[in-house]
Amino acid sequence: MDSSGQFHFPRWSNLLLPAIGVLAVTAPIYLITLVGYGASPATINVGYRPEQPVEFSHAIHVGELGMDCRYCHTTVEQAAFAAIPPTATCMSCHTNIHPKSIKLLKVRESYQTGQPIEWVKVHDLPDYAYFDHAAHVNKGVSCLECHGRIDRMEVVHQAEELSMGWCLDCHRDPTPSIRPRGQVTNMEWDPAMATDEEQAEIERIHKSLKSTRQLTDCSTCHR
Amino acid sequence: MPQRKPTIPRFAVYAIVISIPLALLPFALIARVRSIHTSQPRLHFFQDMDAQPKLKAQATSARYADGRAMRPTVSGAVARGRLNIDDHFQRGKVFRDGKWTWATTYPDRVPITMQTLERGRERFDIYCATCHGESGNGLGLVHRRAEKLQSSGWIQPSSLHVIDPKTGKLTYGTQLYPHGKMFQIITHGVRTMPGYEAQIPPDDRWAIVAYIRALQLSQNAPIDAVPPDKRPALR
Repeated sequence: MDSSGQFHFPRWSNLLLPAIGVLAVTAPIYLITLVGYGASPATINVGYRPEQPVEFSHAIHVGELGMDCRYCHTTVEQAAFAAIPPTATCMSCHTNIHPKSIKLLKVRESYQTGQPIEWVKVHDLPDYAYFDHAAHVNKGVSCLECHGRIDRMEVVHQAEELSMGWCLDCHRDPTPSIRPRGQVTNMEWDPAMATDEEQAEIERIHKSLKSTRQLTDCSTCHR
Repeated sequence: MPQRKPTIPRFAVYAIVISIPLALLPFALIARVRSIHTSQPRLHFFQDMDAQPKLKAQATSARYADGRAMRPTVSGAVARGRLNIDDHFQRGKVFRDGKWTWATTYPDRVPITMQTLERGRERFDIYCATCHGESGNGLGLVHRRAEKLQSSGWIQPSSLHVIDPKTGKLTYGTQLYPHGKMFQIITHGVRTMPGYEAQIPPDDRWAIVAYIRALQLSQNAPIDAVPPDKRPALR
C-alpha cells in the first residue's frame, strides 16, 4: 500500500501473468477430474463393508467347504430377490457343529424366538431399479459378475460399482459375461475351461437373449 | 538510472512449488479411499428416489411389532396351489391294500428322464454333497471340517452305499429303503440330518431320489454292466 492507501500489485507480479493464464486453463480441468474421480461410483460405491450382527464368513462356507450359493440363497433361480436364509438353515448344521459357540449366540436366539437377525444389506440398488436375480442366473450370468469373489471374503463387501453405466456395459455387450448355466455359482470357472457342449450352450443362451435395443431400453430395468 | 529488473520473491516461489503437490493431495486421498473397505454407508449426495417407502422382500417395516415387512404365513392358512393333497408326490406314501405304505415308484408327474437325473445331480451336489460327498460316500467337506474341529456331537453322515449285514443288500437301496421313504427323509430329515423341505421343492427332491439310485448303481455295479466303450474311462 502506498501513502494514498491504495493497493498496487508489486512489479514482480507481472511476471506471474503467464502463470495465471496456465491456471485459467488447468483449474477447470483439475476440478472436473477431481469431482469425476472422487464422486465416481468406483470411489463411492465400491468397498462398502458394513459390520454384520453375526461374523458369518463366506470364505469358510463357500471357499473352504465348497458350499454352493444356492444351498442358502435358495430363491435365486426363481425370484427377483436372492433370499437371505432363515436361521433354520444355519442351525441345520450348527445344531451339531459349534453348537455352543458364542459367535452363534444371535443365530440360536433367532432360531428359538423366530425373530429374524437384522443383516445389513450390502448391495443396495436404488428402489427404481428392478434387478431380477432369476433372469440373470438363468441366462448364465454368474454371481461373480456382480458380487466378486465372495468365496474369498471373510466379511462381504461391495466389489463392483453397481451403477447404471456399469449395468449398461454388460447390457450392451453381454457375451463376455455369459457362461453355461451349470457353472453360474462356480467361482473358479474360466471360459478356457468350457467344453464343446458348454460352448454350444453359451451360444444357445446368447441367441435366446433379447436384442441390444431391448436390453438397453429404459423399461427393461425401470418399471 | 535503469530500473532494476523485478524478480519473483522467494515466498511466492515457495508458494507455487508447494501448491503443486498440495493440489495432487486430494487425488491421493481419493485413491486411498478407493483401495480400502469401509463400514460407513456411502456418501449419498443426491437422494433422487433411491429409497422409496414401498416394502421390498425381506425389508423391515415399523408397522409390525416384529419389524418384518414380509408377513409369516398365518397358522392354518393354505396358500393357493399349496394344498398338497397328492400323497405320493408330497409325502412319498401310497394307500395300498387298505394301508399307507412307502411308495416304491416315482410319482406320475416326475418322469424319469436324463433331464430329471441331471437335475437330480445338480441338486444333490448343492444340498447333499456338502455332507454326503459327491459320490454319496459320507465324506463331504462339511464332514471333513467337523472331523478336523473334533466337534462333539458330530456324527459322520451316512454313506449311501453301505451294505446291510443281515440281508447283504444296500441299507439305503431300493429294496430296504423305498423311494418314498428316501423322499420323506430328504423332506423331514433323520437323526442329525435336517429336513430340506424349505430349501428343495418336492419335484427336485424326487429328482434327487432318482439320482441317488443312479449313484448307488454306479458305485456298486459290476464291470460287465458298463458298456465296453465306456470302460477305459473308469480307473
